[in-house]
Amino acid sequence: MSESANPYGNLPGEAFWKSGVSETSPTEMFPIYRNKWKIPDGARIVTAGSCFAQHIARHLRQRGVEVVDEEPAPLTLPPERHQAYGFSMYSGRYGNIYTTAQLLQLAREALEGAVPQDIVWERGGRYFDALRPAVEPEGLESPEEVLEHRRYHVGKVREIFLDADVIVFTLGLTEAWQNAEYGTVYPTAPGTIAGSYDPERYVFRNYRVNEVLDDFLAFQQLLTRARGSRPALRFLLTVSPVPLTATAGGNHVLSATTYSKAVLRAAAGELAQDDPSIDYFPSFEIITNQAARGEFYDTNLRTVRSEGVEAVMKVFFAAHSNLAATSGKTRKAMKGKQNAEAMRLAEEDIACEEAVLEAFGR
Amino acid sequence: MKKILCCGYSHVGSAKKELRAFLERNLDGYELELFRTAGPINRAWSAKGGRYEVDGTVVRRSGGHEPDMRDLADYELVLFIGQWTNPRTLFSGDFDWSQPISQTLLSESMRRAVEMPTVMSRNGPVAFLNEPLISFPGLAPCPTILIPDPAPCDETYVNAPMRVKLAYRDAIKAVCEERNVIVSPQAERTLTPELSTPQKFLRRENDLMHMGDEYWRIQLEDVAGPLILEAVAGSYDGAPRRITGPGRIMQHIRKWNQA
Repeated sequence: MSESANPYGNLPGEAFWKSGVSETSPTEMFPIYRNKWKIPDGARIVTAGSCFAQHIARHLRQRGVEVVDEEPAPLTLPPERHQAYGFSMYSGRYGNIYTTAQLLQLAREALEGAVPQDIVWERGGRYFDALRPAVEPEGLESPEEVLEHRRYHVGKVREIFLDADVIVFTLGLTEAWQNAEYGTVYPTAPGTIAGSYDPERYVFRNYRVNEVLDDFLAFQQLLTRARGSRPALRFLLTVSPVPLTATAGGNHVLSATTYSKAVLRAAAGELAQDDPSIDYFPSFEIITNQAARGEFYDTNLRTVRSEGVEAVMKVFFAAHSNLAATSGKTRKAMKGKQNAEAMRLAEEDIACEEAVLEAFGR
Repeated sequence: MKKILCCGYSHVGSAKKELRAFLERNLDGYELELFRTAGPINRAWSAKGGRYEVDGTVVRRSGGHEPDMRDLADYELVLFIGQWTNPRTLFSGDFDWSQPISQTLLSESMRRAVEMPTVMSRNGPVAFLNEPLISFPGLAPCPTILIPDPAPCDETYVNAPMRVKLAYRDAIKAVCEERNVIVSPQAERTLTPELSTPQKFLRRENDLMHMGDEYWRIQLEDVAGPLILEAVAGSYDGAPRRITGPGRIMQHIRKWNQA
């Protein structure tokens, strides 16, 4: 390396704002991601997280990459209806997992037999799984039926976590609602999709960096313990670029969004810096890039447009170029195609339970 | 000569001999005309977007098995046999039907399975519209009867949850009732307690789908025959008929309801 008059002299273009951002197309941000490792061919890829993670799963499947789907939809359910029942969104029918606290809670339930309390919510005489309230559009007939469905689901989640090679997790929110007595963490506020809000019973939480870190590390340790001698698990973390629909924290929603994303980005960075098995993929940066001048967002300035998703996935596949059509001839790949079709139809309509909040906003 | 239009494909072929014999015995001056409205070629045609052209009571197909047309006003009865009502298609995907399934999901899936069945091909799932069953009844000025596919007898179906089998049956019933199609439920003499067809009725060894003459003779004797006679010779008023096969079918339904 040649000598330079200052420590910036020999740095590559991407180290400078002008060449790295101002003069670079926001759809060609390839240098922004240097992957620590490549996702191995044939790896069992599991996806989970907030709604932006659905894009990642969908694009992987469209490329013929096998993404684990332990709870596939009935073949007779039209693809455009999969999402209404929580099918084809992630590797299981767990719906959106917005917080690391929710992720840890699910893992404890699946791998340690923990039993979260107050998880059946009612609406109009129908009953919903409060931990994934959007997977049955009309709810179920009884609390017992909800628990029966949950037992099956949690069994599948156990298989998902035990058999995964790579977990792609998108951190979405820091804000959540929690049961004051039992500590159960919910993906949606009580009273939105189902249930009813009782301030004595439910408390608002806005997680801090150390809490996000602790929950993720506890999740990682739990999986390591439960998997025993299975090959080491890798994590690919992303942060959702989708702003908050609403905040209950008392601040302006823009400030709340900035806080939330900053906390999640900091936590993801900490995790990736400290652990070679954890990589961070900068989807958040690609979408929020100033050079895009907001063009990657729809007119509501919240929903990510397909052009933005394409820009993200281009960077992803450039780094993981080996992933295309790894197992196209297998039966499981056919399953992937089925789900890819469902994903294609859902492209413009990625559902966020969080968006239900809009119905209650002003 | 009065005419009965028989729609479907392979099950029409299996039933044809007994059906003709039944008509000769019971109805004077009626002839049977076949119209290939199901089968894999028509399925592929439909899956690619092929649709019947409709002009009043005339239905015209430009592709599929062959270009063909019929004026539904020319017939005293439209009789569907099979016509893509095979519950076996439910099991061609990866879905585990033994898992807890909400009634909402079950109903929606089953209805779709009747109206737009889906099968898994090498290139993935293929959905096709059961257009004849859906649209012909509304065009035909005569009664319409459906004799559904024989209940499968393969192990997967035999072991499938009763709830799923009944839900598929209910979906056929609902789709047909909406269109005033009279459903001829499978004769209970040809059903096992698991609501499958005993393999002794198979037309050929190693063909678990098509039933032999004995099976079709029983259908015509027990259920379908009287319905045909009532439809063409009786006072058909266009009102929907209920699937109320007495005996073991109802016992199974009751058993399931009580479970």
